[in-house]
Amino acid sequence: MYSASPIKRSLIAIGLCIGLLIVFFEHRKAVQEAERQMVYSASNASWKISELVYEAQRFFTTLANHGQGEASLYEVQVQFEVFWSRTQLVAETEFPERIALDEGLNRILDWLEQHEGVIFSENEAVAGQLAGLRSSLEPLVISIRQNWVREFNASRNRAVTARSGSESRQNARQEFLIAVLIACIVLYLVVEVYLGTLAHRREQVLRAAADAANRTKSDFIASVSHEIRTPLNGIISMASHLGDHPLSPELRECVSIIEDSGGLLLSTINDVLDLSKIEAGEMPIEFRPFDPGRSLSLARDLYRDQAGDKGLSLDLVIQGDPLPLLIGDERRTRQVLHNLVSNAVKFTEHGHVRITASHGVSADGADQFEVCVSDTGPGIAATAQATIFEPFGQADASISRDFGGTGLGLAISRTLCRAMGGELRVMSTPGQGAEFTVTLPFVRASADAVREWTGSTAQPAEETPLHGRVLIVDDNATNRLILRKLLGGQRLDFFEAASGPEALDFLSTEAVDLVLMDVQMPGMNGIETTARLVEAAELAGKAPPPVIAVTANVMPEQVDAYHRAGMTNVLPKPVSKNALIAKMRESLPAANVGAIALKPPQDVA
Amino acid sequence: MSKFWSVWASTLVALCITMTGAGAASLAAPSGGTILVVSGAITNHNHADHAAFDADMLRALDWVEVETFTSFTEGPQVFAGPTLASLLDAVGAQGGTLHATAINDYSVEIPAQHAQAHRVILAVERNGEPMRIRDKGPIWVIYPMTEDEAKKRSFDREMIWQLARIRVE
Repeated sequence: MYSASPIKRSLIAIGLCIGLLIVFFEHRKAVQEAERQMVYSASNASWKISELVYEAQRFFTTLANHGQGEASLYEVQVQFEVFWSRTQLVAETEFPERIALDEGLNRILDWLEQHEGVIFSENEAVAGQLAGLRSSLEPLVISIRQNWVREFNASRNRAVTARSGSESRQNARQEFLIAVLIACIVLYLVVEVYLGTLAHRREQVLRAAADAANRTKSDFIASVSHEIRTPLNGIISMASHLGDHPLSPELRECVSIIEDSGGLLLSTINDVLDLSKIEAGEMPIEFRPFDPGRSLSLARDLYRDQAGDKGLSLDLVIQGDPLPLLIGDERRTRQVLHNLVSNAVKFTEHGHVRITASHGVSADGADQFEVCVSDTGPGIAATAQATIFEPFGQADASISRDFGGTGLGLAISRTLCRAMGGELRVMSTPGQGAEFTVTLPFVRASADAVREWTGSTAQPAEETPLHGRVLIVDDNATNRLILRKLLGGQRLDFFEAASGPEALDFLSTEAVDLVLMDVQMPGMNGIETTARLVEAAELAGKAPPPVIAVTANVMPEQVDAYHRAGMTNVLPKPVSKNALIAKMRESLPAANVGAIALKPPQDVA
Repeated sequence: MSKFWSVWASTLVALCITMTGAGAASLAAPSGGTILVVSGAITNHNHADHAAFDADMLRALDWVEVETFTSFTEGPQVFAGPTLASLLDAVGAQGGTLHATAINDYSVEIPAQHAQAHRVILAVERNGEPMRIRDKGPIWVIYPMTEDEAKKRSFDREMIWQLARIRVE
C-alpha cells in the first residue's frame, strides 16, 4: 500500500517539477550555446574565406595595373603582403571541419614563400616574371573557394542532424533525465488519481451506508410510533367513551387516570417522533398565511381553564397595533406557543401567566414577530438555563416526577423556532419567575390570501346533528368501533368495510354520503382504494362521495398524495371527537348539515 | 648619417609635442615612408589637410612596451609602440570618434576616450620584431588585457590591424 502522506507526495512532485525545469533550462542553454557557437564559427570562417578571395583578386588587379604601368611595385608588394596575412588568418582559424581546406591553404602558403623573392626582387629581369604569377596562383584560390562552398553546405547539413546524433553525449544525458522526470511526474499523477478515486468510492460507500442506516432508523421510529399510537388511540377513545357513562366515583377516578396516562404517553410519543424527524432533518416548514392573533387567543383559551383551576390569571396582551396577517407555519408556531403557555401554567402556583405579543423591527432591520410568555413561578437557576433546551434536560430531575412531561418540549420548541428562522430565549431569576421570548421573522400576508386559507376552517356558529350514510373503511375492528362511538350523538347510518376491495364491492351497489378511510391497510391501502372508487363513480357518471382520510401520517407530502388520490379531507390520528365532527361537517353535502337537514327521524337508524 | 637624421627628427617631434599645448603648430614632414595618415578634426598638420607619420616619428611619441593577451594569439605577447593618446596629442585631435581604416580599406570606429581609458597602443613591434603586413603590421591597435579579458573578446572589433589611416571626427 502506498503510505506516504499527501503532503509528502505533493512535495516530492513539486521537487520533481523543479528538477525538470532546471534540467530543461540547462539543456536549452547548452543547445543554444552550441547553436550560437556554430553560427559564429560558420560566419567567422565565411568572412575570412571571402576576404582571402577578395584580397587575391585585388592582388591580381594590382599586378595587371603594374603591368600597364598604372601601379607601383610597392603597391604590388603591399597587396602581396595583405594577401599573405589573409591566408595566414584562415590557416590560424579553428573551423568545425577543415581537412579539405588545409591542403589548399598549405599550397597557397608554399606558393607565397616560393614567389616572395620575385615580388621583392630589385632585379629588373625578375620583374618580367610578375605577369606570370597570376596563372599559377589563381587555380589555388579558386580551389580554396570551391572547397569552402562544399564544406559550408556539408556543415550546414551536419548542423541540422547534429542534435539527434552522437555529437553531444551531455545532451543525450539531459534528455534522458528529462524523460525520467516526466515519467515520474506522470506516475505521480496516475497514483494520485487512483488514490483519489479509491477514496471517493470508499466515501460513497460509507455515505450510502450511513444514509441507509439513517433511513432504517427513521422508518423504525415511524413504524413503532404508528404501532403504538393505534392501540393507544383505542385506549384513550374507549376511556373517553366510558367517561360519558354513569360511573361510581371510584371508577370515574380510574377512567380519568387511564385518560391522563394515555394522553401523556401519546404526547411523549409525538414528541419523540418530532425530535427524531428534526434530527433526521425531515421536519418540513410550511409557508402559508395565518393570523397570529388567532393563534395566540387559541393558546390562551386552551389553558385558561387549567390556569383558573390553580387560581392563576392568564392574560393575553397585544402591544401596539393589532397583529398583521403573517406568512409562516401556523401549526409549528402554535406548537411552540402551547408548549410555553403549558409550561408556565404547569410550573406556576401563585400569581399570573402573561402572554405579551408585539411586532416590530429587529436590531438588524428585519420585520419580526415577538411573543413573550412570563410567569410568577419558581424561576430557573442560571446554571440550568442552558440545559433546559437540551433533550431530556429539565432543570431538575425531580420535575418530571412532580409535573410530568417528557422534557422534550423546550428542545423541540427552540429547534422549531430556529428552523423557522427565529429564536427562543429565556430570562429568569430564581424566585422571581421566568420569561420565555420567541422572536420570529415575518412576512406580511395579503388579507385575501388569509381569508382564502382560514375561511375553510371557520367554525359554524351553530352546531346541529349530522345525518346521512357513512362508510367506515379500516382493517382494525377497534378503530371502526371508536369512530362509531365518537359519532354516537349524530344521526348517521354506519356501514363498515374491513379492506379496500370490500369497500369497493359495497360501493358498487350502495350509495353513501361520506367515507371515512384508513390509509394504512394490508393489501390495497386507503389511497389506492380512494382512487379506484373515484374512478368507478366517474365511469358510472356519478359524483364520488367525499372521502376523509383517517391517518397518523400527516406529513405535507403525504397529505398531498391523499388529495391527489381524490380524498377531500384529512383527519389526523389520534382522532378527537370535535375534530372528527368538524371535518365531517366540512365534507358532507350541505343537505346533510344544519337545521334544514333535520329531516324526519325515520330516515335515521 | 641616418642616425643623425633620426635623432634630429625625434628632437623635432618632441619639440612639436611640447608646443601643441601652447597652440596650433605644424608637424615636421616625415623623412621615411609614410605608414600612418591622420586627418579630420586635428590642429597640427604636416601636409595640406593631414598629418603623415613614418616609423621614426611614431617611435618619437610616448613609446611603451606591454605584455598582453589577445584572442587572436596564443599565450602572452609583447607589443611595443606609441600610445594612441600621444598620437592624438601630437596631431591636436579635437573629435570624439576615430575612424580607423586598414590597408585593405577595412574600417572600424574607436571612441577617442578609449585612448586614455584603456591605455591603447599602436603596436609596431611584436615580441621584439617589427610586424610585417603579412603578420598584421605595420600597425596593430592593441588594447592591453589579461588572459581572461581577452577571452571575452570585448575589444576585438576595435583591435584593427594593418592600420593605415585615422580620421578624427
